[in-house]
Amino acid sequence: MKLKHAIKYVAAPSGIIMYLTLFLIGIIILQFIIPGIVLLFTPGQLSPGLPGPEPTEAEMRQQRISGASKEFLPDGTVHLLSWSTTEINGEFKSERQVWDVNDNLLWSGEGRELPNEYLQWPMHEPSGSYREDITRQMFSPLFSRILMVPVKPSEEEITEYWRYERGKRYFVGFDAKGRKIGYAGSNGIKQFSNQVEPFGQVKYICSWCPQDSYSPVLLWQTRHRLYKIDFLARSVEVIFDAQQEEIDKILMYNWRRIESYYSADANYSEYRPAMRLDTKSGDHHLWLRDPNELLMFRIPADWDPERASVAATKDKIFLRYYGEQGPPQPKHFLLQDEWEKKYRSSPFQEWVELYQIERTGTLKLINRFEWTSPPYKTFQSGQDPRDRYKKARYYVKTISSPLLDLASHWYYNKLVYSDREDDFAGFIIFLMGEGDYYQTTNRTVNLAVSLLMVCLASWHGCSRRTSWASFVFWLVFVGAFNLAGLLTYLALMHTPVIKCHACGRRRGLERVDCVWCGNELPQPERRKLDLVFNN
Amino acid sequence: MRFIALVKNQLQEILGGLIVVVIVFTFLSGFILWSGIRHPDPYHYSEYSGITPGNTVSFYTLLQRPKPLWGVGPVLLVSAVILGAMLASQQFAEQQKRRTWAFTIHRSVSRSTILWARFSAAVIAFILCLGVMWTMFYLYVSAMGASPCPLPVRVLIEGWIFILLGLVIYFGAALSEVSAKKKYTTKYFGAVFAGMILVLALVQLSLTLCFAVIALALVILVSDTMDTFLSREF
Amino acid sequence: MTEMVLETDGLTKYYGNKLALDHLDLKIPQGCICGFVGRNGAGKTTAIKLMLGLLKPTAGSSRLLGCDSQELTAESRQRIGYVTEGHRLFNWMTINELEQFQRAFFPGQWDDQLFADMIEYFSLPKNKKIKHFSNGQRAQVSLALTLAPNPELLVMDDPTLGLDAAIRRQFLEGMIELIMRRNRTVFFSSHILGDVERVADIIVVIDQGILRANCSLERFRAAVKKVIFSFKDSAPPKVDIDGLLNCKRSKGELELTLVGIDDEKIAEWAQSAGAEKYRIVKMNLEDQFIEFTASSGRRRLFKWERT
Repeated sequence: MKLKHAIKYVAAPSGIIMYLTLFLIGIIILQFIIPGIVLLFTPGQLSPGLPGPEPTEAEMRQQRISGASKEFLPDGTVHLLSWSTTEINGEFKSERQVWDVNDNLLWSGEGRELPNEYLQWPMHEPSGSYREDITRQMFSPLFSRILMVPVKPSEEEITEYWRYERGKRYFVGFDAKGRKIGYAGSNGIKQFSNQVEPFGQVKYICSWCPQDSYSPVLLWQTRHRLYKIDFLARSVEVIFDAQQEEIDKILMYNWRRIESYYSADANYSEYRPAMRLDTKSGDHHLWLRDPNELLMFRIPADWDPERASVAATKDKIFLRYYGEQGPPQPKHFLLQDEWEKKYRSSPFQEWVELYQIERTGTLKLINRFEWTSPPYKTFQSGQDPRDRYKKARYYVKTISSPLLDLASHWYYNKLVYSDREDDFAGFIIFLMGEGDYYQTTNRTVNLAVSLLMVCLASWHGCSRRTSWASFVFWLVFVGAFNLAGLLTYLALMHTPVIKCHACGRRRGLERVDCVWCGNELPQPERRKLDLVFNN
Repeated sequence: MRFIALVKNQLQEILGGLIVVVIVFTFLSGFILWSGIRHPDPYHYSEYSGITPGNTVSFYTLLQRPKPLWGVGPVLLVSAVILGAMLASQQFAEQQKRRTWAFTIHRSVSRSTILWARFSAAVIAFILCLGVMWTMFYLYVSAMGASPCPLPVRVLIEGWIFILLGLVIYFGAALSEVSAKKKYTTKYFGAVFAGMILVLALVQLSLTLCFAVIALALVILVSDTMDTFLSREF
Repeated sequence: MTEMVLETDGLTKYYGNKLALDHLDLKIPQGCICGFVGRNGAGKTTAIKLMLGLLKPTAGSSRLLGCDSQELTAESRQRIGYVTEGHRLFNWMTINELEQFQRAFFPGQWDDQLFADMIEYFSLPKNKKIKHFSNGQRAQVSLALTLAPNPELLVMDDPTLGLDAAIRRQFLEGMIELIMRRNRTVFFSSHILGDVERVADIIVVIDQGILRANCSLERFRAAVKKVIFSFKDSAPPKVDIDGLLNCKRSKGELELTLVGIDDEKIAEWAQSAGAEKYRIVKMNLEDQFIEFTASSGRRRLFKWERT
């Protein structure tokens, strides 16, 4: 077979892939941009609020309670702390107020002079990096970043470097002259590479320096374990082993006794360092220090774990939970308006509960305070920009590809829980699912538009067809990919047409005979006076 | 003999551009390396100066660029892209502009030989201009011990990936030049596709996937260019 | 039986939906010089490129040296010399470099002596880049590069375009002498009918993509005639003579362009029409060509009455 013919078997699908990919991306970009432009240029107007007399005392009370911070005393008593602003001789003065649950003002004064010691909740997301951040940094025009942990006996000196080998999942140590000094893996620090066992797939890393050292210590979370790696002390310690369970999240409560930005003024010396490890199966493990203690507790299935905070004093371990009426607010902003209309257009209940976590892991309710919050502010009728965005999106989504729509539904759930190291799946998830950009809003309309594209392709291709197989293939292709398919078809298959001299219909020139009547191209008109003798 | 004559002809034609690229790349990269190596405490020390006792350590402090080569990366990538675009322009656009295709095509060789000669000349150009220089820079830095830790081989591989991306740009631009479609329709889709692959390759987190993306792109572009050239009318 | 070096069968080409060449049927025998003429846009370059496989036909086929034009092998191309329209060469190369490049494609066939002789004959500097050459010099280089491999068939697309008369004469005479010495075939297109008249054995005329003439030059020259008939009173309103191509009336005179009519028939008609006298106008090939292709309903740019 000649190369010219053989190459067509590769070039034809390659061309289709190339054009289709570009057209699909162009359409996706349009589907991003157009609704965004609509949103940008048509801002909504919030309801001006009900005109009328000043709010009633009950309404003012509701607002005060709703806006106050709810603090617990160690015995479980709940106080409401709010701010009050008054104008005196043209100057505004704010003062802190402490109320009890029966609307009695217990105290007011300067914020720093609060009369009671309330329970503190020194929780923070440690300043580490999740796997997505770690891996996203790895490749760029400036080359991959390398995780290199130094060992610094003093401020000026670096004696060792420990470099993380991504593919091998362990650290390799080098001295200051570049000679290998050891390997650090899940089984500790070893001298030879064949002795070390790799870590599991890393999920989370954070690092800090102990009070008396310049050498960073790592907290290294993999799927099932949490390690503390101290290269200066040459130790790899397993802090927590979830066995077959998979660690989902780590939260720290005063864990490292380090003053962070958020707690500059707070004094958490009364609280034991605590680390909460949540697994995917719903277990919550609490790792405490001073003294070391590990216990497990479960929260009710309908709780949102992120609304629960833990504080461990010397004697007790407390858990605080904030609850609100209705399901949690959806993360995607396009779904929030419906949620608001359904659950927040009228006053709704909120509550805060204080529990004690017992050594057996059970939660004992100490106190609960419930209040009614005013409804959310809403947009005037027809002025919600999200409605316009949705409408614009509705129209632009009609040109989405039905096949990809189907594939995205099918694979979305599979991909969204994918946990592969390379995270390219995560990138696809972001494109497909995070913004819901490949999910059409009305499948019937989308299919109808696809059918229209098929009709256009059919009208275009009927007179140009060279074979029925090719013609049918393209019709199916256009139907599967909608506008992108039609554009791809036109880019690759558009050829000129002429009028057939015999039947008068349009015919293509890719074949010698007319597709309708079978006649070939006409012979030219010969003159009697032509001097053609040598043929 | 005929193939070699075609390759030689191509290399002669693009020689001027190659020399310029080699000189600029070598000069810029050499300067960057020299500046990096001159630093009294090379590699990471200055980057770690923010580490103090009792404080959290920002993760990005621990994520280090492979100094002093990291500054060469963007120069290498940009040089590869420019070289690719320039080669495609000289090999295909110039011929179209000067209307010498008929003279070129009417050779006692097949059209595919003419095309492969061009491709081979381009690959040789990339290897000689950028590949050799980049490998020499890497070996020099490794041998000199300009960093306390030996540079991982991954850095060398990533540099070669940039060169491959330049080759992708070359094929994309070549496809655009060879295409007989109108400029306001899909003529430049080849170049756009190559640009998209460049971005897609750089967002990959695994080298294996990166190579896979590049390999797939090369298959698509090379086959499409071949088919277009073999069936094109001049 | 004479071998055909060039054959086309219903060769048709559309550019988009515009017809450029319409069912061209040609047979060119070996050992002749064929002049391929036509007006601007007639389809000459299209036909040549189709024959050489540079274009794909919409319908029909063509064969060169027994090989399908679309499947020309390397060996076939080695036997065919082609001079492109405008003598397009690599501007950045010198003659020496072009020679080295061209030679590589004709192993065992390249005639060093012939090439050197031609370059010396044309007084061309070997180390100067082509971009510094004039049109005429480029044409000379092109000819030398094409003839040095000693091709069996030489195809030239308007080779004397832009050349002055002296260089054109030099070009043609050199080409013809060399080719005829070696019994080769030449197929060339030209706008300069004087050149065709000087060298061609066969003339092929194409007009608006349609073949109008394919015969020996002598036959064409003998066939196309212009006759002026003088009448005492006025010329007859109807002219019913065979072979009438064009008819122009002026006061008392009738100018007819006739094709394929012998002198006897002309005399007979003159008598029957009552002409006082008639004379056959002597035409060169250019005049004949213009008259032959003027009957396609084209509007004349200038119209004047003969006085």
